[in-house]
Amino acid sequence: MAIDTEKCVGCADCVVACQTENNVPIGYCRDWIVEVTDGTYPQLEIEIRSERCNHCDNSPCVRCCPTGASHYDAGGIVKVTPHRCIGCGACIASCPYDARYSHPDGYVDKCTFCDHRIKEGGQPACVAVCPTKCMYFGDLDDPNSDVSKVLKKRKYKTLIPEAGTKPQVYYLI
Amino acid sequence: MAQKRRDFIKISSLSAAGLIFAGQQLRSAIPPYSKNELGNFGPLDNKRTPTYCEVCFWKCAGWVYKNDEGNIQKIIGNDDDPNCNGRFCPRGTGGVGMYYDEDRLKKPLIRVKGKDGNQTFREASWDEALNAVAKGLQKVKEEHGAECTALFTHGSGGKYFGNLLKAFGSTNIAAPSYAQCRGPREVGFIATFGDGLNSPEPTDIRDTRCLVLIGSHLGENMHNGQVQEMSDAIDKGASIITVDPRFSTVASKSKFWLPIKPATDIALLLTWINVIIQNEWYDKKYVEKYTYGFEQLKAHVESYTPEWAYGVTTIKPDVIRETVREMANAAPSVIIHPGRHVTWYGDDTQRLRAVAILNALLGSWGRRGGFYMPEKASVPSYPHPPYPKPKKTWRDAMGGRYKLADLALASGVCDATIPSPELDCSIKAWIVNGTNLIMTLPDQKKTLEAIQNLDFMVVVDTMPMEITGYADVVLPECTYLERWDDLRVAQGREPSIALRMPAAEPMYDTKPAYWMAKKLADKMGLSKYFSWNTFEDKLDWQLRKVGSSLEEMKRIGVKKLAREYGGLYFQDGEEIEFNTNSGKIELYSTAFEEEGFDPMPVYKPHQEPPVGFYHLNYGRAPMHTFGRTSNNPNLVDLMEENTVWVNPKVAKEWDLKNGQPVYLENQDGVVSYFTIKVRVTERVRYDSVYMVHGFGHANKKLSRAFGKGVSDTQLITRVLVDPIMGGTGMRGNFVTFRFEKESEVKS
Repeated sequence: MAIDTEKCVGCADCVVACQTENNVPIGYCRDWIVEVTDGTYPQLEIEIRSERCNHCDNSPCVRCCPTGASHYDAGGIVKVTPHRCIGCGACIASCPYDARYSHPDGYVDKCTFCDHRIKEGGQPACVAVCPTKCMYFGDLDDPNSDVSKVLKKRKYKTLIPEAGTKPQVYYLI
Repeated sequence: MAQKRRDFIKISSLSAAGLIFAGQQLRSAIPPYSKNELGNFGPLDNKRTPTYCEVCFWKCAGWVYKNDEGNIQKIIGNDDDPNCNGRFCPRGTGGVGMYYDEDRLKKPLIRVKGKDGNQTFREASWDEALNAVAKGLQKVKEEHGAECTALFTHGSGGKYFGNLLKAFGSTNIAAPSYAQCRGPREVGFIATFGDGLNSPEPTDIRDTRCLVLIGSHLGENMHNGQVQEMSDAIDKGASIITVDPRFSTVASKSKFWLPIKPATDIALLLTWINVIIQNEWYDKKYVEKYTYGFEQLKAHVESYTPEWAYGVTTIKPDVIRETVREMANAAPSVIIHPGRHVTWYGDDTQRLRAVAILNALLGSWGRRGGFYMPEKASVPSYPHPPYPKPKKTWRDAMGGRYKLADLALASGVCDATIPSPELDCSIKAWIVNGTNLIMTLPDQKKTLEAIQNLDFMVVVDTMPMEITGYADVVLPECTYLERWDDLRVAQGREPSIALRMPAAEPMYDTKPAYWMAKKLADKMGLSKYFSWNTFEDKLDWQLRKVGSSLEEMKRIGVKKLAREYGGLYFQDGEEIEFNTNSGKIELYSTAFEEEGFDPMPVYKPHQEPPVGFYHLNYGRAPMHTFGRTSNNPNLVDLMEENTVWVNPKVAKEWDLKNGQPVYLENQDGVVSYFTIKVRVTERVRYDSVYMVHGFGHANKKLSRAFGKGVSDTQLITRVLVDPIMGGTGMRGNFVTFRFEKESEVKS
């Protein structure tokens, strides 16, 4: 996934669309908005990012899961199997992005890239709803996917690359 | 203290007896059609129901989806809708929260006086409540005349109550969205181009090369289609120029941000106009062919130089020149955006005139990338007898002022409710539909005085907003997800219509507004004005007149219709008659001159804050619509309260810390009911503070919104009335910080 910080206005539509799509209980979220202001008036800059699980290639959450509930699914999507999860929270502690939360039903929950929608040929709810169309989703291994094309064209960064997790969400800057 | 005739009543002890759980399939939504009746349409998709959104005025069309248990789960945009292109904004996506909000009004309520003399509400049946409304209105008619009744409205229900009122004999129908919001821009543009802008505004943002925003914070105000098009324009490399004392979100996406001193926008606009004329950067052919008064304008703006403007606006002369050059280079694909909430300083119509003139000089009106010529479908009204002609209207109470207002002024109707020696009849009864006047109209003291002078008030709402506490009768409306409504007939590049049908049975004992109006008409002897049998019949009749049908619309939700009146843009050299006195685009307004106003905008300085006080600027957040969403569980989860933005220099002076709760006090000594948390940020100017409008609700029955943040409306006591059209300028107040106050608010 790639997210264009030049277009995002931080409206949080991605957050509420994810909540209603995935029945995320009110008070919890799988994605969220970060806004960073730099400079002093009137020389200012803001970067706005919609953040979520980075579906890392080298995921500490998968590595540390004692039951195998956290796993890599098809296409590299990092997922949790709720009935295998014992809610120990090791994965929550291991994630440098704080992308996971304890669901009130006793398991750990996180972004799935809406794989139920992708299987039907759709896009993740956050991507589909975004009024600024600032998100691109697709197969990074396919050079013709929207996301590959935009990454070829634009400057980008990942979050906390020094953690060595190989995050797969790219921020266009 | 003597008891007021009308005490504020907190809506309390509502029973849930009438509760019907969500998810029961509405039988009429999926009728058992035989194959023949289905025609070519095929079966209905019983998982999704078409609607158009009611969380804001953009009215995007979408689909309401249910989960396997049959409960409403999510709302998603309709791909064919030109207002949203399949993408709802956060408020529309969170619209489900309006339906599930457990604080909703649940039963009709009637004001009663107990044995102890205290006024309370008691629950009533619909028949009883509607009888009380009919009686209340009839009594006013008998004693004072039907023209002494008025309707305040926002949203879909207003149409039905408006028809009821017109049938009853009054045309006092006012929406605060005019005099408290977009009115000045309509009058300013009508005076210039002979046409207003309406909604959605016909700004051709997707194809623009330069977008100029003056105090308009697109992206924070989530005008869906415009935000989408702005994003497209960014992709295509358009430049954005933002003029705002605050570093807004869109300022951060702009090539130029002009951190202007508050209240000096007209000075900047006139200077831009002057620089364009001096450098001959205007569209000569367009100006010569289409405009009137160029020479007068040229002479008028001569003294407004960038060097002069620097001293007034604090914007450097080279930046003023560079930005206007940017616009001229992009012309005619340039938009000096008219904005929407433009009631600021009382000279707003003139400021919007300056915006219109600048657009005219750059030739952007009627041009690609500027303003397109919108079209709206013409859907006939269901037949009804002609309405009686009222003896008087609210205008008669205005003493000949505000003649250029093209719609009724909510503030004017409110003023006309307060008896004065000049009036032989003031307004005695209000119907209030979907607008919380306490937080909508500035100068709350005056609003409350008007209410105390009423003989009767009925409030129709889905939520126990503050205004309900002053009503004689409260009628609980079901939400837009539980009702039919009139078709959405939107203007746009292509005319379109959209259907709203119920996705679920109304929860609790709530009803649609059309049902209430029709029942009232029956009780008031006005049945002939509501002669349709069922609302579905009425919709189907209307739809067939435009080549569709209810069955078709249930399946597609939105239908685009063909344009009938020519192209989107002016053709090269096309002869055009503008709807002004001169038939031209009036740079010099003959209409304003006739009424005794400046025919061209003049910069007049405004009051500056006293020492220790700051301009009170307010705006929007993308996840809330005014005060009406601040109790919505889904949207509260995204933003639960507002904060007061304070520049670090100011914070240092007052020793304010991030997150510290403070009271605000305005220059008239009005102290906020509640505290608001300080947000220390470089994004706001040192001479002003900023907050998001719509918070600080004072009704405890709004359990999530009560006491959260501060209401800017409460602090707006200096209303700067626009002499041209009566708009209520709401940027006349300054505030300072207070750390304690004598008594806490009780109700």
